[in-house]
Amino acid sequence: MPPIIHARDTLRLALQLVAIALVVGVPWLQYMRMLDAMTQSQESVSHAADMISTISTINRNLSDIDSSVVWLALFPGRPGLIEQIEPARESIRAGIAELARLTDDEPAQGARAASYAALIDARQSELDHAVQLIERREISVARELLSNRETTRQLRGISAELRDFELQALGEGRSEAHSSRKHYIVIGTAFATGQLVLLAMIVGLSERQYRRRLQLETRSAYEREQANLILRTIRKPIAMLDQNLRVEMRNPAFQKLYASDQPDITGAPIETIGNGAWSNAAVLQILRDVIALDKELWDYELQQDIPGIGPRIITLNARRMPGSNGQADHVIIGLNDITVARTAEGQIRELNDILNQRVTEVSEANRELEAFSYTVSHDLRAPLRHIVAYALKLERELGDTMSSRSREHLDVIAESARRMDRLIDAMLQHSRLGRGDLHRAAVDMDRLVDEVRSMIDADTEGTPVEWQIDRLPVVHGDASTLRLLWQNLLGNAAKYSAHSEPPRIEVSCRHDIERHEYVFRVADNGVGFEMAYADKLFGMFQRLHSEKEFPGHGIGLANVRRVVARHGGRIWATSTPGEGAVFHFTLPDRVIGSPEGEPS
Amino acid sequence: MNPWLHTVLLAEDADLDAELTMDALAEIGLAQHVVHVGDGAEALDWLYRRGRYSDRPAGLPAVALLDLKMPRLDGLQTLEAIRSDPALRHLPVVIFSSSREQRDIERGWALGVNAYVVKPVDVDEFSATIQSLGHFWTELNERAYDC
Repeated sequence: MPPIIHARDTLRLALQLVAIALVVGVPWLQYMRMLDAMTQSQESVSHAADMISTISTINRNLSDIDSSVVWLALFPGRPGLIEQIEPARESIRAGIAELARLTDDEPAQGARAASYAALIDARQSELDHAVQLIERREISVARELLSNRETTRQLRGISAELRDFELQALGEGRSEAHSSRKHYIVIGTAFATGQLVLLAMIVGLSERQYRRRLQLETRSAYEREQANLILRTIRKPIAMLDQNLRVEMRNPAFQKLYASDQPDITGAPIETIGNGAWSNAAVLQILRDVIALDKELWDYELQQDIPGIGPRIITLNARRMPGSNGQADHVIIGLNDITVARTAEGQIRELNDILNQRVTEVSEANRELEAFSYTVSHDLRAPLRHIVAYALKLERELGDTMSSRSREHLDVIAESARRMDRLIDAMLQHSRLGRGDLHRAAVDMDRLVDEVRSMIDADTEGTPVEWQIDRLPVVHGDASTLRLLWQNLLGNAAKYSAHSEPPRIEVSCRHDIERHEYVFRVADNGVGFEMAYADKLFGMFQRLHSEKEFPGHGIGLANVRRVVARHGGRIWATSTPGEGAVFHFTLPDRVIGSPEGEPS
Repeated sequence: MNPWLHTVLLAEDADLDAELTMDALAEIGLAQHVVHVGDGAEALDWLYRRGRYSDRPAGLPAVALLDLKMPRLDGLQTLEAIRSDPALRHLPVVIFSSSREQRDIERGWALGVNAYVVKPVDVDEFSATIQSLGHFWTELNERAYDC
């Protein structure tokens, strides 16, 4: 617990003790004092009462003796009178002793009591004397003596003094008690008020605490409900196990995975669940370790044979959950069925292997192709060169002896060899278009088309071509191969429309935003072609017109298609014979990956 | 005095091509100055006066014309051997090839070839090329030093 809280707790405890002291201690002390005062005043009251009653008892006894003696004087020898004297005298003695005791702490009253006792003694002596006189039959002397009431009068006086003093003391005690009662009322009221305030505070505090607890309970109930809802909503199987690995709680996904058609598995030992799916001792030990050693388990892979589902690959995550209020710790386990992902991974690996195999094969084929074209490039030319050279040598050697027909034959031989050399060149160029790297950059099609157009115009011998060229975009591509593309497309257009009057070529482009491509269009008003042969148009060495009519190798459009394909585009053509041809090709409108392009 | 000062060392495995080359050189009076060897290895033997050439007089030719594709040691390999030897490094070397393979041309230049020539199919063109090369290396570009 942080020290600040600790200090606050101590302070609170101290304040509570002070409050208890104020509420209980002080009134108790006050009560004790009040009790003390009351006892004192009671004591003083009883003291006074004792004094007064003792005096009156003494006086009464004395008066009894007095009247007995008087009766005796009137009726001497009357029986029973003289016997009354001695008990009274005894009582008086006790009373005097009592009086002395009662007044021993009060000197003034003590002095009065002593005088009173002396007077009592004196009166008794007078009465004793009178009794003796009666016994001696000196009745008249006795009567005279008895009629002298001086001592009795003095006794009455001092009795009154004694009593008055006591009564006065009593009165003083009363008024003192009265004033202290007022005092106690004030203090008592103050303390009662204080107690009330404290009580109100305590009630308020406990009310607040009660409310807070209620609030906390409500919140915790809400949170519990929330957690429960989340748990139920999560589709991954989750369960909480106690320290004996019994299922204490599980979400519906857990139940469904292991016991979809069985009663609630809550309370069941985990190893009995899923028909032995959890019977692996090593896994159970790991779960126990998670509880005992507070280990954490991340993506531990399990192979389980789950009834009704079959073998699955499952990753297990586990974490200890400390028990609340001294309860034993639990373990929470979360499962993830990765079978599908794992299978897909396997399939991807397999496909990748196949792909790699294919790539290897293609690379191998490419290498072979390269070796082949290298051979063609070198070895096919040498014989051609020799044919041409030796035909010429033969021609020179024979000189004029040779017939003109033989000379023609030799020319055909040489010309065929030259033609074959050109075909080899064209074929090698086509092959290079498929193999070489594309150096992609921004290419301004406007400028490129303009360049090619100038070249064609310079080479055109007949009627000049009427061009109609719209604005063209800048594309991302390889400038040299794109130049070749335009040379072939526009060159063809010019070649096949050369006989039109005037030849007309249109170049335009539209942007297909949905397909992210530019669609270029080249239209001419030339001889066109029959659509039935359109599929032959882009093939290698395929011609739709005789070479005599339109010279060429039949490789230009094959090259064009290869350039377009390597840029990730498509090409197609439409035509009506005699009315011209329209070529369309597309190029992506943005930078695309794979600068190497696709295998040829 | 180097007796090979006007000599052309021709390495060519194809006899017909060799004959055509020699015909062309003969036309400009260099026929007797051509030494013809069958491949690159033999060319090096000649240059180093090894084997059957061990007793030839010392001295280097005006120029070596190497065919690109030859048995044993091809033109580029021979060129590499010549350029890596300080004694031969300055020998002018021309490589002949039937093809325009870009990578062969680039490799030739990288190894320090003096000229890379594509053999024309047309015989007149071929002769003209050979003759201009012969002229250039044996007469016009006579070296100021002698090895």
